[in-house]
Amino acid sequence: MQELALLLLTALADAPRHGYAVAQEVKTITDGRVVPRTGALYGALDRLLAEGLIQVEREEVVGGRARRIFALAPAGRERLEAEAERLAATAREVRRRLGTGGAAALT
Amino acid sequence: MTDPLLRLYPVAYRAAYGQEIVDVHREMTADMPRAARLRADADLAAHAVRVRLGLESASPAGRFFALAAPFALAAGAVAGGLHLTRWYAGLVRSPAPVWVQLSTMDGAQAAHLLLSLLVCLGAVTALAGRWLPGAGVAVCGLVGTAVQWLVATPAPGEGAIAPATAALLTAAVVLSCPPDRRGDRQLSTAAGVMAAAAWFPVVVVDTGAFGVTTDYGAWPMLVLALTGAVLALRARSSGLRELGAMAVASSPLVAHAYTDAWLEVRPVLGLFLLLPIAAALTACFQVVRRRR
Repeated sequence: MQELALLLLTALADAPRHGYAVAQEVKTITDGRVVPRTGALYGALDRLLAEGLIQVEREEVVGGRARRIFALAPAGRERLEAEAERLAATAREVRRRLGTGGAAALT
Repeated sequence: MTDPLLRLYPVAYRAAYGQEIVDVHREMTADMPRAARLRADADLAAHAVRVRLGLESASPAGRFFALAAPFALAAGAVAGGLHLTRWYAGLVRSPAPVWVQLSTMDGAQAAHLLLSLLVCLGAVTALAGRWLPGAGVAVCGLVGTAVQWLVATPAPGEGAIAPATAALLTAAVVLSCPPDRRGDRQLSTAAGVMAAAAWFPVVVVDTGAFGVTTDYGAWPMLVLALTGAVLALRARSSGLRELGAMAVASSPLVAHAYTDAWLEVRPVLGLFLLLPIAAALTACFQVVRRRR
């Protein structure tokens, strides 16, 4: 899964959000490293919608303007959990090997 | 600035999501310096044009060009690589000293070699994982090649139009790949292997150490067709999409065959038949596999 897609799913994992809030959440999650531009953001959201990983939970009107509120779909939650497990397994292996390497280097 | 950009979206998309996108864009670019805002505007314009052309990453065309783009780069690199290695083989074989040959090389030939080198380097960089700079360099090389063919040929007839068109088509296929589908690792690896397999035996033949004919550029086209068939078999698809993508990616090799065949059309048409034949064989194989 591409990084932006993973970050968008992560941003929607705990609460439904509108487009701007999703972008801000991605910025927060990555400590400012990833700041999606509007075109890239909506391109990725359209793709995740088409793949059934997110869904439009509702539309709300703020200041006379409609905006979609996106939420994680069940398929997106499953995919995100699988991705998190894969990343965790990689991280565990990195820690294990670094530990082994560190121990070997000390002996 | 945003409203003119919004008009780039097709009417239905603009009516459904236009205002939402404008609002988000306005909020996201509010505190940006001018240069960053221009980049954000360009990004929004690129998204709008993609949606208008049906090339966004969620669309079938977007997925199709995401499949074709690495192979278009690979095919461009094969054609450029063959040009470079043939020039190098001639340089080494000639009895004239290398410096004499280099000093008497005309500007058009030197430019063509340099542009071929750009295409090769760009393709290798892109397929090795750095898609954006690599594809940028390759596209510059391809567009330069097209311009060079049209400008440097005294009377640009069929001999210049075919390779120039092929270079532009290849650049268009590469640019049509949706941003969030660029640099797929598996496809890049397959395209890299395809390029190496298409290029290497021809080089061996050119240096006189291989006994199989590669007249009219048959070998690279055969490798491209086989790659499409293997992709289709792995994806358990009918082969139409994969071999269609290979057909779209094949223009540098077709142009190479065309110029190699002294502008004769029949051998090139024969070569082009390799792709539908491979598609038919793949489809038959899949039917047999499903029945089992």
